[in-house]
Amino acid sequence: MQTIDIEANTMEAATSMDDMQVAPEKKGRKPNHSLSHTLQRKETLIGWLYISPMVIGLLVFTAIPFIMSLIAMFYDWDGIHGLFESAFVGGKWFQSIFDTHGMNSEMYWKAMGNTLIFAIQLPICLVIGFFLAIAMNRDMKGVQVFRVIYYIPGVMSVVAVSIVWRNIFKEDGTINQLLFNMGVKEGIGWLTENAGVAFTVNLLLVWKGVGYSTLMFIAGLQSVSPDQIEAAKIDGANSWVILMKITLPALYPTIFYLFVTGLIGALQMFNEPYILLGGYGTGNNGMTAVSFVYRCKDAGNYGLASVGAWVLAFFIFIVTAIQMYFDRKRED
Amino acid sequence: MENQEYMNEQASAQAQKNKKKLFDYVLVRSLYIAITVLLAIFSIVTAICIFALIPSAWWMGLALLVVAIAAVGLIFPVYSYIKERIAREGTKKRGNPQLVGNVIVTIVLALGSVLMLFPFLWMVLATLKPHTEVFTTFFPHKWTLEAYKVMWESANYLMKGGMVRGFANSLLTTVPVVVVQIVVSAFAAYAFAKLRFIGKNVIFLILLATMMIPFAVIMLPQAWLYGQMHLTQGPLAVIIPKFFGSIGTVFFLRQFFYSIPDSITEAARLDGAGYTRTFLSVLFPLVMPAIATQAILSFIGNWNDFLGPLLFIDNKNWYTLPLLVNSLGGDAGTTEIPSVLAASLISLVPIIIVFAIFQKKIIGSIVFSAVKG
Repeated sequence: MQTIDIEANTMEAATSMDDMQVAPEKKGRKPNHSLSHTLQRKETLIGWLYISPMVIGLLVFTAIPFIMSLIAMFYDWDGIHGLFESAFVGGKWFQSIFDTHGMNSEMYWKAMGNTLIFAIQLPICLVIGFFLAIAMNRDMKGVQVFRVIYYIPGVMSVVAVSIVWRNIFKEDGTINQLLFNMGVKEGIGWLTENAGVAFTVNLLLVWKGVGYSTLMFIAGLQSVSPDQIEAAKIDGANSWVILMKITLPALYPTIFYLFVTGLIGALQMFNEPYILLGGYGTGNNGMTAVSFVYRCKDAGNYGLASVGAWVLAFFIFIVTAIQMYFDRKRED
Repeated sequence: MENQEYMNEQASAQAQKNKKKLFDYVLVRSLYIAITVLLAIFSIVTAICIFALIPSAWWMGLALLVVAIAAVGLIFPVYSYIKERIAREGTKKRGNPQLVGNVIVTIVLALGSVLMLFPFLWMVLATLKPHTEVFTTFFPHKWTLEAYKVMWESANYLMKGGMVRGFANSLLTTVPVVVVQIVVSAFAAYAFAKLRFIGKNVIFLILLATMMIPFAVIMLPQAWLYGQMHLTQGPLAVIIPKFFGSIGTVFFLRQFFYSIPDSITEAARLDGAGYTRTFLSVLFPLVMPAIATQAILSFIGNWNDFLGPLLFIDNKNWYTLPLLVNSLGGDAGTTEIPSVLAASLISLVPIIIVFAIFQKKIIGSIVFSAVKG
């Protein structure tokens, strides 16, 4: 049905309205050509009317900024004046991003590195979520309650949650007080030292994200057929083998989907590190790629921001392309 | 002949029985070790917390340590017991074979829940303490509502109208957005799924492609654009653009419209209903559950949104709750910690209510998207 629609529409688009009569008769279309003609015209009108808000929104609020960011890469745009009132600088911003010892490039690639460091939580989330899903996928009283509880951190306001974590982990916060009470002389810089920041941000993200992957895995587990497990058992497979050879492969599509969408999301990380560290961290050790772009807003350097954002977009597109390739392969 | 049929029946009955046992076997044996180790770790961590934070309850920590040691010590005997029991079950029927696994899983999940909810518990208790003992005690020595008073004053100091205004701003940037966005998206989804018109598939593909554009690319030009439109001094910059529908919602609802047979819409059309009437009185009620789910998710997403308002709202008086809370607790913020946490708690209240009422729908929608994806 979908393919028929596509064919029909491309044909309609290709031919003018007067040639409509020669368009192939579609399912249930009345042979009276003049009537179908009027109906088709009316349906087109109504259809475009219904999607018109989407199209206008797309043109004004996405297409224009999109084109502007493409152009801004070559301009010294401060975001106060108009784009074309500012000076054309050619490849200056590319140079300052890819230059090996420029201040901007140092900051940008550090931000990129941080973004990847903050993506370490992703596989951890998947592993913990996998085991939680197996534990929760049983006929047991109260298991629904657990599913809800583990998902709660994921829906709560990221600001409120990060502020709580910040106070738990800060210099004189709960965790360090606990260490002091245990006799540790100097607290750990959870939100200042590089390793501390990496640990705390990842921990926060695991805590927030594990419920979601658990729910996705529980949904994926419905596709594991009990017959297959039974057959494996008769063949003498032990539980570990069954888990690794039957349950896990059945979840490959879920794992792949979670990993790819999670990676695309992680590359665009901003909220958690920004709020947790109250900005970009000591020596920018909490700055992510999106924070870098955001920082350019205050610095009035929209050209640099555009190049930074497009380099990030390039990596995201690569991930998306890989996803599409494997999706298509799986469907074949 | 008859004999063979009887044998077949018996075999299938046996298979049914095996199936149940088999499932158990997989779960109990594969999870036992992992669960015990986790249990031990959780107990030790909790015990350390108790020793450090509430030294007077040392016996509680000691009990947890005993639990941890016992759990680890019991790994080998219990594991071999389960193994033996599974081996015996081939010949003898015993009580509920899932019981051991259920108890262990429940204990582990309960301990995990404590970890998941600990920050929230800490937050609630911290708002009830005087600011001098936030980090030194777990349960307040002196219960006080001082934090809420201070929060009220500092919010008033930060922006005109304080907390009430922040709450109103958040509602204003959430409720109209959810309503209009859903209606616009539903109409578009209906057009994409049920109407035949020129250019439909091209537009749909373009819309899908725009979903791939990272927000980072367009966010600064958008901010500039909204500035040019004089939207950034009020809340309109985070309201108006969202009135034009959400592609994700269109995509989601389109699946639902596809699942409704064409015969229903055709019947309505034959009865003389126009397109809009067909949509509103025939299709809309049918996809109402999906629309409700999308509305709830949209509400949560818009209420929690941080980066959008941060970029597009320049006037402090129009700050939404997340921005207000962030400003109160910001680096330069001199506000006392319990009051910042009190503000955080207040900003969570609507989400907690919505989640409590609709948690089944929210979780169901995730499972749906998983099955689809």
